[in-house]
Amino acid sequence: MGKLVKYIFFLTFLAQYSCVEEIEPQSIVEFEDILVVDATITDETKRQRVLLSRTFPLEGEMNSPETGANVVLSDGNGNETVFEESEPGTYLSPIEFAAEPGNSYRLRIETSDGGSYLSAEKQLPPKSNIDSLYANRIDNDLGENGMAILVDTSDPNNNSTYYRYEYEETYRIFAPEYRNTDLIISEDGSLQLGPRNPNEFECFPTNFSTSTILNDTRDQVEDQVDGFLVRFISSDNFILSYRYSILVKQFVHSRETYQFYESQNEFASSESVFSNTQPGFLSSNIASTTGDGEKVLGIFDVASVDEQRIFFNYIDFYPGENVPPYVVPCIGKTIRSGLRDLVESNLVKFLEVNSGQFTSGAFIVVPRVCGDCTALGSPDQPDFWIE
Amino acid sequence: MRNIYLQILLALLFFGPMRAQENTSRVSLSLEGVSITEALERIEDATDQNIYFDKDWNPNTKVTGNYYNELLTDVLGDILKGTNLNHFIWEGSVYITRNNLIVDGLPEDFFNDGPKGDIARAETLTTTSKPIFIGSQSVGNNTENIETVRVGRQREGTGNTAVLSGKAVLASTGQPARDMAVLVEGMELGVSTDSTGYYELRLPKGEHLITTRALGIAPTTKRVLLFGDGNMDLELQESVEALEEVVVAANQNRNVEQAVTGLTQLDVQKIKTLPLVMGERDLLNAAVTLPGIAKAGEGAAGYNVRGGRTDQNLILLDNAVIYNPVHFFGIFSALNPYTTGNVDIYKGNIPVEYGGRLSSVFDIQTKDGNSEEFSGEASIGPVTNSVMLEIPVVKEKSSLVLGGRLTYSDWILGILDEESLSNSSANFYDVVAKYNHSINENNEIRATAYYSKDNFSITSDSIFRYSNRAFSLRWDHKFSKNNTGSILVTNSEYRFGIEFDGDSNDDFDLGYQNYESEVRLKMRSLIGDNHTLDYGVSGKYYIVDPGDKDPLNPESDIASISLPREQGLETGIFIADQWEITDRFLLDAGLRYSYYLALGPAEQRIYQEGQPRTEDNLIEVREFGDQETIETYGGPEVRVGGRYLFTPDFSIKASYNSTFQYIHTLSNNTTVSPTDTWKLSDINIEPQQAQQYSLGLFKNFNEKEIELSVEGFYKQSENLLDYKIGSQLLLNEQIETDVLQGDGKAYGVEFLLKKNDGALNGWLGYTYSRSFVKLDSQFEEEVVNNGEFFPSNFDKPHDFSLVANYRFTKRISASMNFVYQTGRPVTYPVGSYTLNNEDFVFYSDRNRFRIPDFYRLDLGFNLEGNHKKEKAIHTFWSFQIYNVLGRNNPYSVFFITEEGEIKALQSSIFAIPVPTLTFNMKF
Repeated sequence: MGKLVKYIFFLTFLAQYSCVEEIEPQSIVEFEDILVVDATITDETKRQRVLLSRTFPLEGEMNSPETGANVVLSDGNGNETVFEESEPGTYLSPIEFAAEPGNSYRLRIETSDGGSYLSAEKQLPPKSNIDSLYANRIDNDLGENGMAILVDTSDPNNNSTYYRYEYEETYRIFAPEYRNTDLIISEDGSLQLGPRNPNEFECFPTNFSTSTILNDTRDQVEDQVDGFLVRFISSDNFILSYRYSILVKQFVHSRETYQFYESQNEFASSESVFSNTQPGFLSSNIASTTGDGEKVLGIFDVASVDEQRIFFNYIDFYPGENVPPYVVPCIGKTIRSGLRDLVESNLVKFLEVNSGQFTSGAFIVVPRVCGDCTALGSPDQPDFWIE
Repeated sequence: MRNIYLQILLALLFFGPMRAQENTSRVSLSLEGVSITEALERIEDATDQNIYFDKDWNPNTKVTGNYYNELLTDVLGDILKGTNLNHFIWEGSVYITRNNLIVDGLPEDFFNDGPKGDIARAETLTTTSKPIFIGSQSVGNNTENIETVRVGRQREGTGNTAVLSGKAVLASTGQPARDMAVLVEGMELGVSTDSTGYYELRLPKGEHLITTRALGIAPTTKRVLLFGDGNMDLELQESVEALEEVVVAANQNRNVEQAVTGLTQLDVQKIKTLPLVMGERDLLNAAVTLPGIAKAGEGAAGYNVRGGRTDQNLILLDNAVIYNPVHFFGIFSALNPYTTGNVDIYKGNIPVEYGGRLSSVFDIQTKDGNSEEFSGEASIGPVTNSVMLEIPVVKEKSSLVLGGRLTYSDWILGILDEESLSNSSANFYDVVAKYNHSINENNEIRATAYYSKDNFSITSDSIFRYSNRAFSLRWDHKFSKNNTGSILVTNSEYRFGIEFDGDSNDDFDLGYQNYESEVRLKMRSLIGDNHTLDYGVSGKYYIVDPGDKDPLNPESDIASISLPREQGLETGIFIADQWEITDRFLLDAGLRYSYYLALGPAEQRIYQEGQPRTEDNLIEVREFGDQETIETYGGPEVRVGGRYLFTPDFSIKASYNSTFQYIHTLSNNTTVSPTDTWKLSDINIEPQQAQQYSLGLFKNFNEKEIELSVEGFYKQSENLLDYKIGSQLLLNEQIETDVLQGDGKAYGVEFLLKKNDGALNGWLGYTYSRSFVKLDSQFEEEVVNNGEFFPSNFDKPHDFSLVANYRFTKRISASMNFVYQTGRPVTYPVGSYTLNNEDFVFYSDRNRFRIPDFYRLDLGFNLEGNHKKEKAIHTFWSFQIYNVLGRNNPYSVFFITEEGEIKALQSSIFAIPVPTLTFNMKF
């Protein structure tokens, strides 16, 4: 619904007069430093993870992890699991386990500054499996052509209604201007030609979803999702060029958690010129127990998860069509001065020796990513990769 | 000439009743620069009429004109225009006179019923040689031009005073001359005519000079010899000013004399030149330039009156409520400005006959049609085409007004060089029809039908539409001289729908609608010399279908949802006495008792007392049968106002007003959104309540040309409907778990300086006002901003408007509109956080910050076609520039997360100057 309303109110008729422009946020004097809890315990057997961080000012760069906290997960059977801080702000269960149906869970946090917090009690929602994950070439709602990654799912019990999706996509790519020769800084500091690392030719970069993808079936007769669009990749996106794989994880959440995510999305999305959702503080299901009304952000939930992976090749859907343009234009040029610094910082790659095409400079170079795909991601073929 | 006058008067007295005007003769001729004498002689030749006149009058005036089969009276009127001569057609003869007024007829019952119908009828045939400006004419010096009318019959034992009453109509159209001041010279006494043109004055018996003044109506003066109670109907000529953008002072001292505080009367003529959005003449947007009436932002739907919410206004078109009277999300109002006669906005003391809303009543009246001849008006603007027709049905008895507006924005979207818009469509239209019929002197019927519709399709997969429908029927009946009554029956519907046809299996069709029907009986009785009693009963039946959603096609897996219908009955009984305690002190004391019943069939969820209203605390679901009473609310609503006159043009007024409201909007937007729905009070949702105190000083200066007023108000409200952060309100079956009810508080001072007349005219309004909300509860989750009062979304302390018209010549004028407002409150984020690899901002207290101040200057230039009467069409060109300064006024500031990055965005609606050209013609 939220998405739809947004579309509708994206009033374009007055686009010629109205405008939406980016502004510098007013510097906010009263920044509030609040604990942020990101904790979803799942039914996957793994070391479960709880992330703790602090809010940061709008102008600030990074979130700061909440270190040194005591994180305890307790269940309905009276078992307590004390999480270990594996890196700043990341707390892992000491052993692998999976959330069990019928059990209830509760998270308790004590921070190093004396704060004490307790979550609501949550239970594992019924599992719902992905029936099918598939790719289709479509024109999307905005008239753009591309690959749609779609999910069909159903729940025989007809009650898992609130879905959230995450994905990991991995694609094969070749550096289009890969050469066997490389520019190397010799021991005396001069530039010279040398052998290229062959790993720079073929890579398998991986991207993670960066937005909260939600879908629900509460309005539907059956708890069944047909063709829900998890990811859309425009036809001119280079990641489609050779072979592409996507792992989609489907979380089933409680209604409360889902609403939290939904509101969070709504507050964070583009609004219409004419209608603004009233924003406000999104209350969490984790509360301070010290009684001073201290606010907490984030959510604690227990979710059931199912995942599927698919692969496809460019020619499966684009037979006879040119591959999309590479991530950047790869035009060779000479560098008048400072080439050595660029090589040292690994920003350019050797293309060929200047044989008169350019008036100055000995070497013609391209941006690094054109000659070295490790700029995008790992050169190693992942274990799951199937040809 | 006195002889002619006397002769006619005698004829009238002795020869009894006769038809008012034998003006049906028609004439065809062509005149080119001939003298008046020659012209009259040629008319005499062309018709079988004798024309009596004095050749010495106006020997040098030359006249030119072509007439084909036109009414003799029109031809004469045209020829004599520009002279001080009048004509009078009687029994096959034409008398040319040099005075202003001639008595030419009596009502049919003149000789029938002595004591009851002591009536003399007067008719003006005045065509003044030049506009008579108010105050420029000393009546005493021109007594020879004043007609004398004898009213009433002297009888023994009837006291020293008598009631003079009558109905004022425009000679040209037969429409009532409403809001016209009827004044008694030298006595500082006067009344204004009501919407039917009726007036009534109690005067000492004897001789009086009665003058009339009104907008666009030539002032008249009559000498009345009052012998007893009686009628003097007035037929008035429109003054030249009626065609001009500047309208001469209306309602002389009415602002000072009325007992009601916080009444804004909008003159439809006055906004003709006001530069407004996209060159559209717009009543409600013009109202916003007056103190106390505001919008949350440029282009926002909904009006905030005296710090009240947008759902607290009763917007009535001919008494039928219009729920969403806007087009295009609020940029334009959905009321046709060409068919509208008058707009009264009650923002302080609301008359007892109205109930059901806390803040205001917008009483918008469609004008009565011209029952004499076909006429109309059409305009071509950049956004809409509009046409208005006045069609006589039964001559002088009934007529029809038809109005329609249609946008051609679809066409505009089509020509825009923007691919993403090529699939878009946006269109709207509204139509209105009003029929009025004077059955006889005592009975009049009016019926209005209205429909407006908006359609949008911005993306290829969704269509959004909404519509308003209204119907009203009114029967006015005069029981006796002192007792009148009206029955009103109205019915309204508002609905919106969304059709979504996307790629997945969730295509749907969503609909919302509500209906309201009202029957109202109201009576007015004049009791004694100084009591006017208004009383009556009303019943309003509400039906709300809160929403249903159905699969759009067989492939869709959407479940059909239909939220159960809500029904409610609001009844009211009311009485008010306007009591003139002394000449100076007028008390308007009213009481309305409203009683509301929430009716079944319904399911009501009962929650544990003393616990937050959540699903966990649900005790039971109670079932109610058809028409079973679920819950009742009600109480007295006090409407008291008083006025004390220090001098005839200086008064103080005070009022106390309390109101109930049983229907509320559900909105989680900072401004009005087109998917806002209405919710009736039930077990869980109590009615809203408000009380307002106001005090004002009113003073007119300079022969009443300048009006000055200062009004202060303080308003408290309870049970305003708000909602929890992040709640979904549309199609929410447990809506009571997501809403909150809180208190409101508003106060302010409104200052208005108005210059009604002269080459330079206009108004300057300034309001300082504040508006607050408090949402407190013993439960943390129901508290907003720590349970303290915080500024409402439309709290804009300073609001300044300057509207000015300057007339260079009769045909050329310029207008300007300048607005300054404090920026409205917004909720800004106070920091960021990361969750699931994504950065978000978080918000703290509501409305702690403000967007930058708003200001805007609009200019308009107007050119009118010449005013020659023989021209069949009067034209009017208007070139306007909206937002001349190109100020990028922010409408809102918001934050989005895009690809993991937080961006602050500011939206504005009209960021650049918008020029428009509008063509208007009247025929």
